[in-house]
Amino acid sequence: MSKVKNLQVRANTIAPHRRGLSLVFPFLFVGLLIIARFLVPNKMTFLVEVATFSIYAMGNNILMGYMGYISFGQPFYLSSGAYTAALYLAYVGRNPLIAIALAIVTGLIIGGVFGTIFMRLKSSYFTLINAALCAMGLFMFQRLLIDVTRGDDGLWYRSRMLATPLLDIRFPKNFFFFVMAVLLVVLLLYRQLHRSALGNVFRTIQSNEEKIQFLGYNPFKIKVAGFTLATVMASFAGSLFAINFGFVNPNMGENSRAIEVVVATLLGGVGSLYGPLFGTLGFLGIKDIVSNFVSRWEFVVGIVTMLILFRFNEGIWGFFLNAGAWLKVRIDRGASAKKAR
Amino acid sequence: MGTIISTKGVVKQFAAFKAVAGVDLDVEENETLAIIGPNGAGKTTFLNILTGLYIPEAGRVYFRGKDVTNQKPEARVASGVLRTFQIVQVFDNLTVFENMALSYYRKKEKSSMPVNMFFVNFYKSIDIAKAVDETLALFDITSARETQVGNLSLGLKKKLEIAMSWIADPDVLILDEPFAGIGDQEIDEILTIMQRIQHKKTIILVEHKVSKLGGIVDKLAVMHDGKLIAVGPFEETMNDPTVRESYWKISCDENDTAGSANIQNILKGNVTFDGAAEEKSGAVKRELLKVENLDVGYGQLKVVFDVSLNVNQGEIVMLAGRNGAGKTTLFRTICGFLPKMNGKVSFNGEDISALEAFKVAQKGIKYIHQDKTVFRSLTVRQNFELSSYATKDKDLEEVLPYFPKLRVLMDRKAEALSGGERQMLLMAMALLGKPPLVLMDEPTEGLAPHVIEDLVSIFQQLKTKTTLFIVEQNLPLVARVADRVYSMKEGKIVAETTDRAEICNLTFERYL
Amino acid sequence: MDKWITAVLYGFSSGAILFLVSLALSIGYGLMRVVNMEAMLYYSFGAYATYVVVSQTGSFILGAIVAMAIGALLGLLVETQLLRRLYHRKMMFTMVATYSTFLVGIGIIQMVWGLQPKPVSSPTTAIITILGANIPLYRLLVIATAIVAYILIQTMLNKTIIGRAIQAGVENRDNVQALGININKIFTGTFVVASAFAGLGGALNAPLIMVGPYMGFDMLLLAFITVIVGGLGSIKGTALSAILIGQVISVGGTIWGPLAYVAPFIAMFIVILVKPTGLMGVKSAAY
Repeated sequence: MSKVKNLQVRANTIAPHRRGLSLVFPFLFVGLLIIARFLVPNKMTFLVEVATFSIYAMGNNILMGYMGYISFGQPFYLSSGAYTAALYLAYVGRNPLIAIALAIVTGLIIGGVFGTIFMRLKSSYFTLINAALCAMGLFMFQRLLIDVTRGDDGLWYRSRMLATPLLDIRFPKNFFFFVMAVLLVVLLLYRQLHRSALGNVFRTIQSNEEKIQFLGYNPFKIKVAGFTLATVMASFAGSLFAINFGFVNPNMGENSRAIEVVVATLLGGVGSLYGPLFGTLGFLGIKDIVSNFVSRWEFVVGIVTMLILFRFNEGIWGFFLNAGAWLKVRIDRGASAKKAR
Repeated sequence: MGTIISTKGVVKQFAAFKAVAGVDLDVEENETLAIIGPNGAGKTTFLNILTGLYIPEAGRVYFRGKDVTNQKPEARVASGVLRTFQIVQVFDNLTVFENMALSYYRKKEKSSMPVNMFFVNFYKSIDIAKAVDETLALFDITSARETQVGNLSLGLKKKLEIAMSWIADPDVLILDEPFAGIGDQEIDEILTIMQRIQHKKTIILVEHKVSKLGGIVDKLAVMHDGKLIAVGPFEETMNDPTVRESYWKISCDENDTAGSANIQNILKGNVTFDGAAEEKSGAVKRELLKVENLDVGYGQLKVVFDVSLNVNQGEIVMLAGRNGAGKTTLFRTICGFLPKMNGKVSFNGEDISALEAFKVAQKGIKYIHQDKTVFRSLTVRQNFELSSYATKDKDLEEVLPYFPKLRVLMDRKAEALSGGERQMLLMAMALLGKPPLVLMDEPTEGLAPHVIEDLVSIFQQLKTKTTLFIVEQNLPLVARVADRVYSMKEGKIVAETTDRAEICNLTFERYL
Repeated sequence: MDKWITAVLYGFSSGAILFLVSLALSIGYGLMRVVNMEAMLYYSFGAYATYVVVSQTGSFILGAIVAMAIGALLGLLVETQLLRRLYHRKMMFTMVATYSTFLVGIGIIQMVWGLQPKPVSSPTTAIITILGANIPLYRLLVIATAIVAYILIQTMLNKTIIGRAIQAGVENRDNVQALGININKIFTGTFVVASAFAGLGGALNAPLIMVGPYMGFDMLLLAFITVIVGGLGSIKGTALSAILIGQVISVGGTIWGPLAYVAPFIAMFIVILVKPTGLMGVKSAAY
């Protein structure tokens, strides 16, 4: 009992966002995913999905974990990226890399425009208006632009994609390595953000939005920047999905899926550096298993979310950190006991 | 030298209420100016105008001769105006170091472009670390460097907030009630720091604890009802006839020396006795409220330890002690707002420690909250109606004779009342239905001296009507009013006395 | 011409249902500062209750009464078991918690009634001709019900001492308790009334749409828009914006089909741009 307490005391003396920042982790995690691909070859698609979705979740973590704003409209930004890539590949060009670049630009524009509108609102309104935008986006892709998006039938363009230099990402095996490399880069950048001045300014939005202007920062600008960053990461992830599947349909932007990324972020440990990655792994894992038993899984998602909220609020990454701290205490103790002898 | 910041006829209005009604003020470079005045005089609103949180309806604000009236707060920070807040404002989810680094970085870089900020790593920059460590050492908070701010005490947070402004190398440092809610030792520490920076920087501060200001203030300004009624050197302003008339309410017709002495006493914390001798009845007093071995805490953190006390019928009992001593927690537990850990609270011999707050009130223990919140959107009459709904006692005439001022205010919205009027309304509401016991949490806090005088006389009149149990920090007042005093320190009752002289001569303060 | 009269009257009836349903969201926020997304469950369960009662007994009135009872019961359950725990939590926490409650509720509906939408027959098929336009009597009854509900709730909040206690409790809960008033009971009561109205909204809407497990989702979005436009926590604002949104959907849809979906969002964006707190929203919302 006392050990558990010790572990908590020790873990709690360090601010949560300052724990587990070692440079080793991004390489370790990506390495583990690559090893997993060879150990369980039939789960390769799953691992690609985890990598892609975790980029989406990292974006959401900037909003939720850093700034304390929660959006129920992230699927819209995801599907905007996917549709940008898809429309480009289906009608305009054939290079997947350009498609990705265009999706990022779309994210920047959407984030900038809607950020300047939404970030004037109180956080409760922010959540709701994002959900509303998401519904409008769904309607747009499904009905309004049906002539170009083909509505629920989806847009197919796999055969139009051209080979990319160095690594031909049209093949799933190659795409896996491409996504892993992307994930590594994103994780390294995310680590930099986490430790940077910008990351800390984002965190202040959560605790005291008013004070920050009396240190000379413009809170509105910071919030728009954070929102845009989240949007860009979502649409980037969307374009990766689009290229991986070779087709898109409006399903990706459904309102009912807004909770997915929120749950993934919570499950990993909200506001933490590697939480989104582990949350995604946990969430998609649960989904993978549950979908074998029930067709619609709202019920399960709801129950899981409640459990995390009320019983497990540090998330998976927080659990790992605590376990690590506990181990370290034990090792230190063992060492000092030896010395004493 | 010369004027660094000045205002010309600034006005700020909230609905019909003029919080600041035309203030002209010039602040010289490197001087220290204190603004005093009762709560609601418009001091904080004025600071908010100076720092850009509010844009005034009329009048201009100048900084180094430049009109900055419409400039946003962040722009004023960039030109060197930094401030702290009455209710301490720091970033609870960050560490002390990060709080400081954010302030330093912004001042140093002159750029808050998100892209630039992305590449700056606080934890690796030697430059930032050096500046932060120097300032932390100056403010004596080095030991808390890596602590998450949410875990700090109020005193440390206050110091941190000043340090955060200080590290940005301000030209003008604005402090809103830096001493509110912290202990004497911490006040002295902050004073020492202020003395060190005095005459190197312009300092503007708002403060209630006038007795602490004498040593460091060059100029004193007194605000009353949204206007500056006097500005000048410290002593001179304190003795200014207008100030004494409206703020201290000491008539100028009085013998001049007596008036002056009175002010000196208030400044030093001494008091003059009321002439009337206390009537001591020999009869055995009936025990009304009894608290036995009470422990209270929030989660793991215990704040009230093994408290036992009793209040007898017809007494005025006061509970003295510093902020954070656990007085309010104790009161809230007695009244059922907080659950106890151990112990027992009984009222008229009946155990009430498990009752919900509204049931405790129905038993006849009324509680008046520290923050003087009346129901703002209701009129005075509707406030009364609400109170009589609970007690089924509609006879206002029972209480109104004690509060004649309220009669004329019956149909006014409660939000338009002054601090003193609010306190009176709260007391009158509590007294409806003849409750046997009324608990008041700091009833005089933030009120002007002449309003406090009114309250004191009401307390004394109420003695025959009910029993009062009051939290009070103003020791001179305690000495005048209380029959019995408990002193609380760090969650424990450390002393009990009925000896007025003991309280009065401040020997009692060593227990606090 | 009659096309437009039909559109306007249909708009009022949609607005009426929107108002009944959004009330729970608005009151939940006004009283407890909780955005209670699970409010749409009262609506969905109300509709399903009506479906069950109407298919068993054929009585729509009984169905509506049962729907109100179910809504009230669920509201009571959720308020005492969940919302009480959320009072002092962060907005983010409460939103996720209530949203996942909503999902659990949808899951239960799926388990009990399946995915297939169910039809509910209208209690009256009578048609009334107004200025040359043919209007189903049922729609007029819906409008009348909503007006009665509005008057009831406004009277309760503004004219009675209970309403005054609620107003005071929104400002400061503890101080109302200190007067000896059981404010929790009053709040719970008010919330239960709002939940019953949401249930009634479900019952009234059942004959107009198909009763399906995702009807709550569709309504949630419109209810969001309604409370955002009206201002969270304001009853008058909710009523005004429900009428506005109803009209925008109905009249917009008559002008050009797809507008029925897009127009509410456009209306919301315009309102938000002009007044970020909504039509009647104030900083500290008291009614």
